[in-house]
Amino acid sequence: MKFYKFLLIAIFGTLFLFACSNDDDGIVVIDPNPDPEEMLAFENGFLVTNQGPFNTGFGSVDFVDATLTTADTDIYQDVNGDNLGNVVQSIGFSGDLAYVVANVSNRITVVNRFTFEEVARIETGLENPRYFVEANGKGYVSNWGDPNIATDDYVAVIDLTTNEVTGTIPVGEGPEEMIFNRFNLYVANQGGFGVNNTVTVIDPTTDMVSSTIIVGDVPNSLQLDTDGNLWVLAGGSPAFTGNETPGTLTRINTASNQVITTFLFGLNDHPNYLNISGSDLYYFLDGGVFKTTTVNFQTPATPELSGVNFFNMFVVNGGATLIGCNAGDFASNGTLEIYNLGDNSLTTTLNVGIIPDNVYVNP
Amino acid sequence: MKEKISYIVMVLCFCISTAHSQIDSLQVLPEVILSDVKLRDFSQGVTVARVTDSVLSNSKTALTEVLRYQTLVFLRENGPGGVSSASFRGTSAQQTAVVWNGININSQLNGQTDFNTISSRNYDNIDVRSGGGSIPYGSGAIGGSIHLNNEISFAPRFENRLVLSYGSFNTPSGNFKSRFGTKKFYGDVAVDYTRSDNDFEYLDTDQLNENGQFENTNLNANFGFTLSRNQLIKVYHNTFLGDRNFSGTLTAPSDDSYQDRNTRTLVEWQASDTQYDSKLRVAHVFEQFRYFPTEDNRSISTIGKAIRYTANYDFTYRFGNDKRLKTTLDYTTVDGEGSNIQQATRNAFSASTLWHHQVTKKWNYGIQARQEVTNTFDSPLLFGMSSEYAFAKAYKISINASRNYRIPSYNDVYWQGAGARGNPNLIPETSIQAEIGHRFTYKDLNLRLNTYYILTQDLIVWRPDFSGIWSPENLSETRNYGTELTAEYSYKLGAHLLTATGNYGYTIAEDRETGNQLLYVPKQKITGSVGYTFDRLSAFYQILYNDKVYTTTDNSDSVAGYGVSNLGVNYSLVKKQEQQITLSLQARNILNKNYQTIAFRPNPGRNFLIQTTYTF
Repeated sequence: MKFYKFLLIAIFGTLFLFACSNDDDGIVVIDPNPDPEEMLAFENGFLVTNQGPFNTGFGSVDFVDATLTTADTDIYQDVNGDNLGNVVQSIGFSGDLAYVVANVSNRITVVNRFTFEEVARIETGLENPRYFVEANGKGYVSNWGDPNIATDDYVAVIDLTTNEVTGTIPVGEGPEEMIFNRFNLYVANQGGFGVNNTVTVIDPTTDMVSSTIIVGDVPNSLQLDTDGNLWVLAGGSPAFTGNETPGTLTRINTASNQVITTFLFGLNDHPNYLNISGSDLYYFLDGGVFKTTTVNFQTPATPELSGVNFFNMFVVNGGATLIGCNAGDFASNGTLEIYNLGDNSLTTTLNVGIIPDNVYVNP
Repeated sequence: MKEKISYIVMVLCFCISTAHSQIDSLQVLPEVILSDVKLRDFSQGVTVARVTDSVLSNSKTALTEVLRYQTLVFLRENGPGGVSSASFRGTSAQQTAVVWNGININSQLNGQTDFNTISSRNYDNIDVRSGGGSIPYGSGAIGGSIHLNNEISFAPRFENRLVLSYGSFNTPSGNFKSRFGTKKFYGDVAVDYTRSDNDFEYLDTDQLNENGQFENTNLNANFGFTLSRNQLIKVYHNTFLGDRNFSGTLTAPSDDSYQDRNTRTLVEWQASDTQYDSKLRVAHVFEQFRYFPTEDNRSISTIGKAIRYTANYDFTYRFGNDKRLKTTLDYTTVDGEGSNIQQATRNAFSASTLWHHQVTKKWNYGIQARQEVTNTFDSPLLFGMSSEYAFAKAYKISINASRNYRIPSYNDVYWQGAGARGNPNLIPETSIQAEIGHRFTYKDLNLRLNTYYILTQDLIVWRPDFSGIWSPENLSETRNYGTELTAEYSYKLGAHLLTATGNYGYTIAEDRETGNQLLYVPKQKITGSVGYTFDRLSAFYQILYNDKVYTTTDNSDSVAGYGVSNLGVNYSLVKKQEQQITLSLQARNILNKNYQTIAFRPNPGRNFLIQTTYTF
């Protein structure tokens, strides 16, 4: 992102690695008894995206086995002898294909999700792409456009047979995460370098915006609960804006696309990384992982885990395990910290790439 | 005139000579007025190497280019023409001070100087002072300092020099310098201009260096007026106008651009007698950048600027021929603001005192101290000492130790916006350092060996907080140690002159917590050059070896080391007293080596430069 380049120049002078923001989830179950004979190289485990150094270098994808004990780093490079581009932001899936989004390179690399062999590249029609979601047989990619222009943000529509951008849908500033509930595509407009507070609802049958839902400032994560409600965690406007607002959690009825309830955090609380597993709801705040429920949401007094340094986190294995992405000093290889949520103990620390960000189940 | 700084002036030999510091009785108003006398008079115990005018006029003008091949300073350049910072002895860009005619001109906004915004050809010489120098030169002089000097001299003259060159990648460049003077008046005006498409190909790929074009204009004007037998006024001015795009990398495209608008003006009133020098200086330093994130849409930009006024009074008293006491009082006020920088005014008052005593012909020592008081943070008391002992004419040993600092920049303290926030509670980074130097001189061979140790604490490091907002803290401690070896040799046989110089640096710069080598600090750097002159012909060959550098703090990734060399030939077409024309041809990276200084930023392959210099 250009802003980061600017920061880089303005603040740091010349060099430093740099990160963008994060987040996504995949609710897929891993086969507990795979047949090793039939397994493909990267089947039955987890894919981890690492942003990599900003500008000077490339991001990568690691494969972690189902038991979360070993990490195979930069599998795309190993298989294809090439790199995925600068700042690997996220992966989206469609059938056996994975769509790896490289933000600064404005590139999506299409690979077989189990072999990681490259199938195609999408390199036109993207401007600061963030996330990919399949809906209604088409690909949807959130794009910031020019980060300095508030009105050019869009969701690109991709024909998955030709891998070409066939249309764009204008959305609010700074679209990030998206989630598809079989009917609608929800786009969280986080605000880019500014502050936004909307979720755009797109009807993928018409590729039109059907409504815009007002949520809290800086919506950073989206989750669906077992009843089909959409939960939007918003971090609130940070102090440096001069107009600090508290974090909020909004529950939305996806049938009416109306807000059911909004929970308010403390004024200086800026929560992030919402996870829902069954009725358990997890979020991250000030180095702590907090757990509550979707049934009776309240902010717990004490965290499940404290003093952790996560750049993102994922509750997996049916709520039994938490994977924390630790980006360290953002200028060296990061780690995945694997916690057993039964007793909240740290079981494993895995070395991964630079700035680990998103984790996806690869069944 | 008795110029006390003697040089091996080797025409067109591309070498660097070392300034001797000597004490002799100074005559009132010497013929050549140094812009920065304390560099000569109070730099005992540290190495000061000089890049002379003949080298400067024969190099590309960007200071980055000059220093990279001549010194052990490591230049971190974001591609040719891009943002470039320097580091001595494995310290940071903000721990390197750039001193223009005696005043520190590091940016108030980011605390460092971009070495591609200094056009070296407009200066009469450039000194490279290795080691701590915060007491004479203020914030940032931890690793060392670079001194840009204009000299004023009173003698009847009218001299002009025109340099025109054209280099690969459509790079025209020109420099014109005119000096004029009488016994009572001196003036010089210099203009330097370079532009480049800078679209070289990335070797072994089908990519070009896109969006790398730049255009730099630099103006200098300096004047001196004698008021009486022992009083004079000096005026120095520099304007730099830079417009450049920031090139992409192997993996990241780019279409942004950047504008620099910097001016510096210094007026100095000097009164001298056999016993004393009194100097009152007033300076105005203006810096402004404008960043355009999209070249195609210049209506969107981010700006930052700082205006600084400095008033400085400096009094040196000489007790006989062997003792000097210099006291300096300095008041500086800075007003800075920007799109992402809160408007803020910083005032600093400092007092420093420097004592030098030549005890015997062989032995001298110095003691120095400085205290600064500001409205924003507590500054440490700085102190230093140095001593030199000459065992014989051929061998001299020197030691020095000092405490130095670098203050938090405006960005560090007042940044506010888009994902980051400055920290008003920062304190200065401070270092304690010590150094031992040996110097051997035998006939035309000159050797220097320096060993140093630097401990720095409270390093300012930017990190994101839990909600992803980046902000700086006084976080880490570093330890640097290493050794530097410099050798110079010249040999004359009849009309043939052969010269050779070499530098070798071994640098350990580690984070004290992890023990890992710091980012982009090569453990070894070697520079070497050989020059040959015969009558109207001269030639040089220069080589640079740079060790591998780490690009991640866990030292898991690195950029490979490289060796790169240049070759040049000069021929004097006209060589008369009143008129000289020299033609120069240079080939750079003659082995067409594909190498990177910064990861994923390839440097140009073999490229050429043709230059004519007309002196009249």
